Order: sequence, then C-alpha cells, then structure tokens
Amino acid sequence: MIAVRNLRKTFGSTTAVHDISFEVPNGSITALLGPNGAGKTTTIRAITGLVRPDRGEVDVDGVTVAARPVEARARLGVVPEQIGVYDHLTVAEHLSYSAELQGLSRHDASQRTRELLERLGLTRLSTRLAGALSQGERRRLSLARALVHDPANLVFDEPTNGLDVMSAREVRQAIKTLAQRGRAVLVSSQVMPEVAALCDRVVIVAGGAVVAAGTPRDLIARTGCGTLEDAFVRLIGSDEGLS
Amino acid sequence: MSTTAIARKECREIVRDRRSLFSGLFYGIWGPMVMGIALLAMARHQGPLGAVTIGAQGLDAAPSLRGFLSSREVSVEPVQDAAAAVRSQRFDAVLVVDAAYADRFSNSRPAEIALLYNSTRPGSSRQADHLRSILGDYRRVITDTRLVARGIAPAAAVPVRVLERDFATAGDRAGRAFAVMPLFLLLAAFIGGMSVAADVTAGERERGSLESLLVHPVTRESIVAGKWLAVSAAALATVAMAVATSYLVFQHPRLATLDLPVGMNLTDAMTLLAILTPLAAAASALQLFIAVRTRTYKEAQTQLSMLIFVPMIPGFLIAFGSVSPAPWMAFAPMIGQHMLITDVARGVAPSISAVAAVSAITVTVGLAAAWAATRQLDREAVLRRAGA
Repeated sequence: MIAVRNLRKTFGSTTAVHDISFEVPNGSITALLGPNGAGKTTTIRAITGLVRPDRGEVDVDGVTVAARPVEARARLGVVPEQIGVYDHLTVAEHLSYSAELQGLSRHDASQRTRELLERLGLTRLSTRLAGALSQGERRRLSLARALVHDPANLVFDEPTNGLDVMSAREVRQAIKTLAQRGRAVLVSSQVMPEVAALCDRVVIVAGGAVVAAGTPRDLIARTGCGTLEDAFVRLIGSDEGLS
Repeated sequence: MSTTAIARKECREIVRDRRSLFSGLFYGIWGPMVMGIALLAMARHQGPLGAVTIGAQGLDAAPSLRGFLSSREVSVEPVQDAAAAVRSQRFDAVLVVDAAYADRFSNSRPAEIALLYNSTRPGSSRQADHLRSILGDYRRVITDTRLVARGIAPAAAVPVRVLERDFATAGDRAGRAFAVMPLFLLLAAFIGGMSVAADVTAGERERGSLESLLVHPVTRESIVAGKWLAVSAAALATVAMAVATSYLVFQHPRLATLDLPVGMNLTDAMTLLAILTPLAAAASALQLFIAVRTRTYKEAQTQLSMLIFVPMIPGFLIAFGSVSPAPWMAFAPMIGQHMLITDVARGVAPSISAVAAVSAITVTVGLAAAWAATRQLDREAVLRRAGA
C-alpha cells in the first residue's frame, strides 16, 4: 500500500504541492489526475524518493520514503513517463541489469529475465537492441523492468502515452492483471476514458492540492456530469467545453 | 553488487557505442606518435651538415669566394631569380653577389653579398647558419690577408677572440623535445574518460534514462562508484595506449642513434602506468562531478574540455623551464606525476614513497570529487534540469 499524507513541496518560490493526501490500497488501481502543473509529477517523485517533501510523508508498505528511500524503492515498481532505455543494450540485458539493481544475484536475475520475457511476450525481442525497438515495444520493456523484482506497489506515469491502440490495450490489461493479483497500482494519466475504464479510485489534484477523490462513478454523480472528463473539468474549477 | 552491475553495464555500452571510447584511444595512439614524428624530423635536422648545394646569382664576379665555398663542400648552381628560387623551395639558401662586388672588392671597400633564405623552414634556416659561418670565415681570411699586405699583424685587429663551443649533442636537442612527453601522458589520463564521463551522466539525462536508474533501490554512492569505475577504465585504456605507443616510439632505431638522454624500457612503462593509474581515476571522478552538473551532453563536453587545460598549466611551465620545481610540487597532483614521469624517462627510478605520496593525495582528490558527484546526483535539480 502507498500512503501519501499532507505532502508539501516547494521549489524556490513556487509551491508545487500544497497539501496532498491519499492512499493506494492493495489490489486496487488509483488514478492521479490533474491539469499540467497540478503537482502530479512532484507527487510521484516524492513517492519514488526523487524529491524530498518539505512537509508530510509518503509510506510504501509502512516504510517512510524520506527516511529509508532505498528500502521504499525496493517495494516499488516504477514506469516513468520518459521510458529511457539504453540503445546499446538488448531487451534481455535491460531486464538483467534492472534485476541486479534490485538486488538479485546474476543467476536469479537471468532466471527472472527469462520468466518475464515469456510472460510479457518479449521473448522474440530478447536479443534485439533497445535502440531498434518501436515505441510500444519500449513501453513493454519499461513495464517489464518495473516488474522484474515482483513489487507489491506499482507507479505508472502516463503508461499509454504515445502508444498505438493495440499496445495501449496490452498495457491496460497488464495493469488490470497486476491489481487483480493484489498489487497496489497508482496511475497518472490524462486519458479520461482510460481512467474511467481502468481505475477503481480517482484522486484529482489542482493547484497542488487534492480537490476531489472517489470512484469514477461517485465523481460523475457528485458533479452531475455525464462523463469523467466533464466531472474532472468541473472539479478542477473550469467550465471550459462543458455544455 | 549494484556498483559492479552499473560498471559492467556502462562498460558494455562504451564498447558497443565506440564513439566515446574511440576519441580517447585515438589520442592515446596519436599523441605519442606525433611526438615521435616530430623527434624523427628533428633527428634528421640535427646531424652534421655535409656537402650542400645552394643557388647563387652573380657569383662569377667573385671567383675567390666560389673557390672558398667549394673548399667547404658547398656546390653552387646559378639562378636567375634568387627570391623565386627560395620561395619555391628550389634552394634552401641563395647567395646574391652585388653587381658592384668585383669593383668594390678590388678597391678594398665593403663588397655586398645577400643571403636569401626562409627562416620558417628548419632546413633553410639551418643552411643559412652554415653559410653565415662559412662567409664569416671567408671574411676573416680576406681581412687577415689585407692587413698583412699593409704590414699590420692581423691579431692587432682582433682585440678579443670569442670561441664558442656548443656541447649539445643531437640527442640532447631531441631530449628537449621529450619534455613534452609527460604532458602527453598526463593528457591521456584526462582525455581518455572525457567523452565517457559526459555520456554516462549528462548523456543519460538527455536520453531520459536517468530517472529510470534513480528509481531503483540503489544508493547514489553505488551509482557514482559504478560510473566512476567505467570512466576510469576508459581513461586507463587510453593511458595504457599512450604508454605503449610512447614505448614503441622510443624503440625506433633512428632515435636509438641519437644517444637520447631519455628512454623507456618495459619496467619504465610499467612504472609509468603505476604513476598514471591514480591520476586517471582522479581525473575520471572530477569529470563525473563536472558532467553530472550539466544539462546536456554537449554542455558537459564543453566544460570537460576546459578542465583539461587548467591542470596542464603548471606542467607546461615546468616543461618549458618557466618555473623551477619546488619540493612541495612533488606532492601536488598533476605536477607530482609530471616530475615522476620526467624522472622515469631520464632513467631515474622514482622512489616508492614519492609515488605513494602523490598517488595517495591524488586518490584523495578523486574521492572528494566522487563524493561531490554523489551529492550532485542526490539533488532534485538533477531531474528538474532535464525538463522531465
């Protein structure tokens, strides 16, 4: 489980996150929604230990990230928005590298790599250099890297960004399966239909604070809108495009 | 374990993406080779100047001079346009005898001879010196003859006689050129890892893979240590290449005939590697520290290029004799290694304590730089700057 409590973070005179609290329970998919500059990326980076909160804290399975970042990261699988693969490593080498960084021995890393390649349908790409992969294949590789240590908590930042329809469906299915297996999944996305179809809970942030949280159905009902997208627009305080 | 995994991965990428490694190894080979080529060229110009052929204009008016030149093994070929003959490099030097030479000479008035040469060309300059010396001798012979004819002892016209004796051998002169060898080797320690350091830090950020790396449960110290190992390996490969090439240069049979005051055998080569290894490691750490602060690969390369020249300044000052070595310099990174390399090249085995002292200080500087790089990597700005 991921727990974010009273998070506040400023960069110089800019307050990126004012006061954000929410939880990502095990076995569920929680969406973190917000317009650009709302504080989503800062929140995700606080969860992954890449930024230190000025106030509040983030716990991953009870481990406080700021106090024990390495332990907390070991409980997390992260798929950043920027895929960031190494062009001169093969798919299998990427996975082995990630596995070793997760603390697996070289032997275990090799075994885990084989398992993951098979499970995610990447076996035929195992010896291909990442520089030669398509965007969808890179995203699957990024997902495989996040799963290499079988983490209990997963964070996806714009997981289907830039993917074609089939690749996006595959990624969404993989996320669903992870939640069904009891993983706590946090997804940051701008694609409202995807969020509505995929997520159990939605946390909407704007101006660095949580403005609404609940199931997609709750939020739609609460705002009296027809879709999650309209509900989102209304909740962040904008009527732009609403009928 | 994470450190070795990162080092292995970086080394694998370096080997596969040869651009970073190639620039360093290229220097490792070509730096000493350029020095060797320069020395061989110098060797060619340092030997005794035997029979020479020069161009001359109007020399028919000076038959005694022609005879004198001939007695000094100077052959003369007539030219029409003396200046053009020098400019076109047909002759290294040309004598132009003035039209009034014969008349003035016979009347014991100064007769003019112009010596044309190109001082920017070593061969031309050298031949001009040779001719100047011969013409000086000729002038003395004529003067003495005229004085005797007038009943004056030639010695009376020479209140002071200056005798010059240059004890420098060709080898000594070539040895001065070897003063640049320590600089070549020191530069190898810096150049070898430069592109790699930029690639594994700023390059990684630019490609967007830094965030993926940082979200792993690995300490920043392990990340920097792994990258440091990889950059040091590249730097050391360049140093080894430079030492090996320098060793081969010294074995050239032409240089062996110069009786050089410096040399290199296999033991010397090993000693040089031992001296340069800590420096390569420290240079790599400094480069990591600088590169991790930059935003792009290009920016990193620009800053690292400047880093090379700053520590070179003391070395240049010593190499070209502007600064006398002081005892404290033996402990200063770069300068200390420069002095040790010079000793090795001169056949003086450096003491283990001297090598250990400057190596310990150098490694300490490297560790401090690596620590500073770790702190840089821990800054939130590392990601914010990337625009991620």
